[in-house]
Amino acid sequence: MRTNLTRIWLKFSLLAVFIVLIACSRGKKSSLNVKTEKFSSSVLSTVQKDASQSKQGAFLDGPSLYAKNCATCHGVLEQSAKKNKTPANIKAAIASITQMAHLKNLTADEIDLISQALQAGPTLSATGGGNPFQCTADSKSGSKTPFKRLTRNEFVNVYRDLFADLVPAAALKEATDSFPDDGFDGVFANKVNTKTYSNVFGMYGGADVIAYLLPKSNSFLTRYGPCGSPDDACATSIVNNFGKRALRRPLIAGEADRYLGLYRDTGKGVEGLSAMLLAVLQSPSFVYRIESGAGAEQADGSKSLSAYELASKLSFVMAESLPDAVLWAKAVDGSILKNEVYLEQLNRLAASPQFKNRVLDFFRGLSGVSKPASLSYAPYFLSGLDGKKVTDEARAEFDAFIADLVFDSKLGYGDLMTSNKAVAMGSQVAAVYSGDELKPVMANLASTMNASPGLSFTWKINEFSFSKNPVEQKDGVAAWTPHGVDALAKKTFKWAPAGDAKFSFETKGDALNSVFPNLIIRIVKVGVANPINETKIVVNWTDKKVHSLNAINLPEGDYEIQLSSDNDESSAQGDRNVWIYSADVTGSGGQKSDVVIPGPVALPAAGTLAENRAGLFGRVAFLQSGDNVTHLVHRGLKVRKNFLCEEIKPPDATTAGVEAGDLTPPMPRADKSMMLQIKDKTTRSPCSGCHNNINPPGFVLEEFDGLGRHRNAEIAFDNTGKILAQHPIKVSMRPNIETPDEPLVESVKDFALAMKQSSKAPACFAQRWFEFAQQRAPKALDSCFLKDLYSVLQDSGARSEEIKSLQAGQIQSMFIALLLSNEFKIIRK
Amino acid sequence: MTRGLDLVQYSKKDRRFFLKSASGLLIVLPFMESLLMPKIAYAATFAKRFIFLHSGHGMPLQYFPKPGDNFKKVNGYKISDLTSIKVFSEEEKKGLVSPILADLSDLSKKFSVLEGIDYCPGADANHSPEACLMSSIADRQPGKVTIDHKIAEFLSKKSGRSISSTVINNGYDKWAASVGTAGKVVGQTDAKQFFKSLGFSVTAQQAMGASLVGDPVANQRMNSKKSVDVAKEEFQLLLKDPKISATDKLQLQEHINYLNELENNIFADLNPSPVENPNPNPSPGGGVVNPKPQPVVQGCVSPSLTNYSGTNFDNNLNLFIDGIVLAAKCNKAPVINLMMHKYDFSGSFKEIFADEGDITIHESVGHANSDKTTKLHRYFGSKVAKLIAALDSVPDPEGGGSLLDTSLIYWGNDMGVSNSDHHVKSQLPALVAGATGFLNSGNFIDYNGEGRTNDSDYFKGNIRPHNQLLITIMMAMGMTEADWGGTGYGHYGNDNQFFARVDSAGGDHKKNPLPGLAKA
Repeated sequence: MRTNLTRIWLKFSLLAVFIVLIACSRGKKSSLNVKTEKFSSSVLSTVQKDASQSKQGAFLDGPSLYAKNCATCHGVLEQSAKKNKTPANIKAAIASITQMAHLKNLTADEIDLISQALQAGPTLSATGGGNPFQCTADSKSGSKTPFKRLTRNEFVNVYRDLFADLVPAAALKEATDSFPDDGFDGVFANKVNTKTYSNVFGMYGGADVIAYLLPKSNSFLTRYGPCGSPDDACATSIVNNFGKRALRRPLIAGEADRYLGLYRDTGKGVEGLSAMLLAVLQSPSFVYRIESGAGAEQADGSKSLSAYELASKLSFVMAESLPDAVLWAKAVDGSILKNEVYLEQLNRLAASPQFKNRVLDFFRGLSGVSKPASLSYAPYFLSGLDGKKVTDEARAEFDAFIADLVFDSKLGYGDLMTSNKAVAMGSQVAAVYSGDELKPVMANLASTMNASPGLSFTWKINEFSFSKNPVEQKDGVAAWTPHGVDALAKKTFKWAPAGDAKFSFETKGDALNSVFPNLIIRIVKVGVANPINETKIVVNWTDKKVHSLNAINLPEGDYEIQLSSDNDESSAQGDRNVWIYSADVTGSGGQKSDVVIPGPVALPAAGTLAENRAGLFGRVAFLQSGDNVTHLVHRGLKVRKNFLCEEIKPPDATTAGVEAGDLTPPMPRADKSMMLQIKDKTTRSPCSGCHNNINPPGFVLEEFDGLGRHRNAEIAFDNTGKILAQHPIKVSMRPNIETPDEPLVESVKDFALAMKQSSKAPACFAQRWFEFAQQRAPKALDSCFLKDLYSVLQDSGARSEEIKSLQAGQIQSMFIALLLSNEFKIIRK
Repeated sequence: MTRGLDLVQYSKKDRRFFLKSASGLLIVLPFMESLLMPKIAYAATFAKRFIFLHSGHGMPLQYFPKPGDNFKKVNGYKISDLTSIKVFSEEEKKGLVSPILADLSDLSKKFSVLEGIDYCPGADANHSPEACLMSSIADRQPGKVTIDHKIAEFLSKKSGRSISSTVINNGYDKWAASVGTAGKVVGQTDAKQFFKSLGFSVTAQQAMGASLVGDPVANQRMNSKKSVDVAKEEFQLLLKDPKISATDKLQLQEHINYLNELENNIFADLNPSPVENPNPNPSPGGGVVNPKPQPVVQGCVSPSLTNYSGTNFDNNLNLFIDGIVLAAKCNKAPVINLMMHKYDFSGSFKEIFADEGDITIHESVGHANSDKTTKLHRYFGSKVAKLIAALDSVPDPEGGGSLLDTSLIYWGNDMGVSNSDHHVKSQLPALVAGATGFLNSGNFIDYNGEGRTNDSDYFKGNIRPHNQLLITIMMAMGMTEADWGGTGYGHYGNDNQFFARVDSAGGDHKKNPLPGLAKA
């Protein structure tokens, strides 16, 4: 106390000195008077700080407690030499080490929080294909299981499942709109378990709407009473029946009484029931997934989940909501604790659309497919494609690819990395894939568009191209695919109602006019052998020119436009690109219809994408950046963090050696590619430390642009669409997946193959599934669990008894292994 | 709002007393600019709410607020000159025509415009409004928070209420969810939800369209409050369960604190003695010690939202502005961030570009440095004008002038120059209004130092760190170094050496408010 008073007095004196100095130096009267005088705010804040600190200790989180009590000797948490210390370790150290004696006042909770903060993630050993997780005696004990707040999706689904048939749809929307997004924290949105005012208010807002309406719903009263009106007896039934369903467990002693007390205290009847339901829907057991376990604690500190907890956990993980009626019945009668019933329910849910969607969510999060949320592709960059449609269709195609891989074809991790199987897709994304054959065309198109920014494309250039490109090199000479009069470009369209249709085409190309002078246009009615119309037009490919056909009367129906030549240029002169800039169909009698392009179209071969579209990394949805540049560092980071589980911190401008401008993202330039700009910035220390890992995937992915189109060169646009330069893309780097001396990779395909052949990449995949399903990051203590998952995924070595029957080597099996594992059915506190 | 009145008896010393006790020091202390600064803090009354408005991408600086190169001719000072901070006279200001600030011209006495402020570039800093509140988002790491959180924490301690930073964005911006939050606060993107979150009488009946105007039935609100009390009791009972872990206790306590905040926000008029938070909040918004009663203000009801669709950008933005004014009037949400920008929007933006078809804001407007860019920022300027005028028209219920006088508004942008090549973090445009007890209004202040040759010079010459603006804001809220912790605030990076030059004439950019902006 005396020290504080002295400190206050000293500060006061200094303050006085300053004020006097000011007053004297300016010849003004001091502002220190009764009306406006303020005391030294630093004095006040000292007092306040002391007061608050005395109460704060018990409620600091683990990292803060570590910083306050441990960091001075053991360094900052991230680099602490005391990683993975248990509470027992810490207690023992405090008891035996003199320098730690001052920590004896730490409570058990505080020590526990410090220990939790010190728990590191699992360490992997590079085994080149073997199981990299080390299951030691320590890691058999597993890590602790905190309560989990329902995510936004879970809230929305729970509300849907409980109330959709009891309240108007608008009311349900009003209620669920109250829940704010969880946001992304790391890889998955559902990992977020923070509480903010917005979250808590959202829970109140949603509950408020529903609780107001439910007592007025006869269906509600009947279902959870049953009762005809909200009287006292009805309230009692409802608190027990509805409470049990909403809280996912029977009410405990005293709980119902407290809710009924509220019912009475708020006027009973409809109002009382509303108030009671409002409380239930904000209570901890509704808002959180609370697992306390049942039965005796085991030697390793674990307890089995109760039947209700197990059913809830299974349902939230597999269906993102509370148990459905079938599963709920198994919780109520306790049979879910029997292995055969559990397995039956697991299998039932595994076949459900909800679980499929969960799996897709996992892959979407992992691949960043739900991001970016917004798009800013410029028209000159899109070259006539619709960015929004491409994105929507690419995401649908991504889902179809994953669903086929995991559920239909039941493939493994290696296939995830390498499969170029084509799945059903929309026309826009098909156009992106088909553009793999049309790299030079895209560049020229963009250039021309820049000169004529007003061009409007009804159909897309690459949909009409019938160019050919070299597919392989033989003895240093390009070998060309066959090219001839049969190489038709086709498009279908619907025409309705019957009437005169007018066709026009705008053409340009680098074909030789002397060899390839004519363009043949056929209008064919689907299902009719002979064309309704066939026109030959003479084309001067050097200049862009519009060709209009005479009006053709078309009956209502489906048609195909076929474009071809009457000569085979490639056989005589080598290949040339020709293209149609625009093709417009208008009708004087009929109304212009949307062109319907069947997909997939223009794929290299039935059932597969181009070979460079290796696995997940070759999918358009994975590759999309949302704007005109690739954001190659972000792409590289996505691979390193999400798929290789590397912790890469954001660069710090204060680090020695980081120069002004180093952290400014590059912009397209005439003199240097984006890749070279990044290379220039990152090949020296300290940046190289992280970028030696980030750059290889980021650079190889440069063979695809920000929309996901394959390319041989980066087209550098300025922000008006003017082409500044075309920078060839050539990469040869070591992937640094497990060791720095791995073979060079030159493409995404190479990199994906290196991922497939490593043990680190599939190990990370197993960790990510753990994180997604358990809603927490795995720790070293979870290594035995992870080792099991890896064994199933990669068919690598022994695994626990309960998951031995699973078909190894399949992604789907690993997903199920987590749910079948004994570790899934227990908690540790 | 004043501070420290409870210690007023200590200050009743006469001038002679000080001269006597301090005479020894008087001899040895040189006269320095830095010695002037502490006086400011003691003489001022402080703002009690902080409102940050953000508009993204670069701004065409030649129009904010000076036209072309004419400005440079009247600028130019020597750093060795103590008068180097150029505060423009009324005559000089007449030449500073600003298309962007055109809608603010009638309010020119109500704000100050700052020129020549830079912040340190950080990783991934482009288009991150968060950078405006921490001088680079390189600090966006656990434990590092933006000043809105620091201010919320400070106001929590001061008022005894649990206060969070309220974040609003227009739903079009992929970055906005992290505005000023360091990942802690989820933004409100819907005006209706925003009003609800402020607790403006949007009951279940109202939400369902029964009536969206007027106070709801008091009975029902009291019932709702009792429901929250019972839910809270369930949390407290669980908290006492000896079987739960320390981690779970922590999160349950955090939840209870937010329930207290909710009650204080929504049911303040039903509860003359606000809910005391028995335990401090572990999150940055916490730290409740001694709750103080809040005055009950009449008319704290939501505007009619019957026809609100949530899809009209302009309508939504106007409602957000209305909500901020209502929050100020009704003593709610004293820390608010509003993201105004349509960052990566593509499509029709008829509110501003009525004659255009679809437009890509980021590329063809934001970075274009064209008339469109000016038009866009003038639009945002009109919203700033709306807010300033509205706050200035309402007396603060607690006295101390208008709501504007007791609020601090900072309209900022994370980029200073709009062009195609750079995302330049120098010459950040800044408009500061309110906090009239601490800040000067009606000034255009140029901090450009010797050696700056053009707007896009990156840390060239003698520059004024954006960090100092953050410190000024916090000081205007009544905070001291002890409140924000450490010397200076935010990220200074390796460019500290440049910032340090501004101190060569005395003063301390890490401790003192911006000269010219803060009242002397």
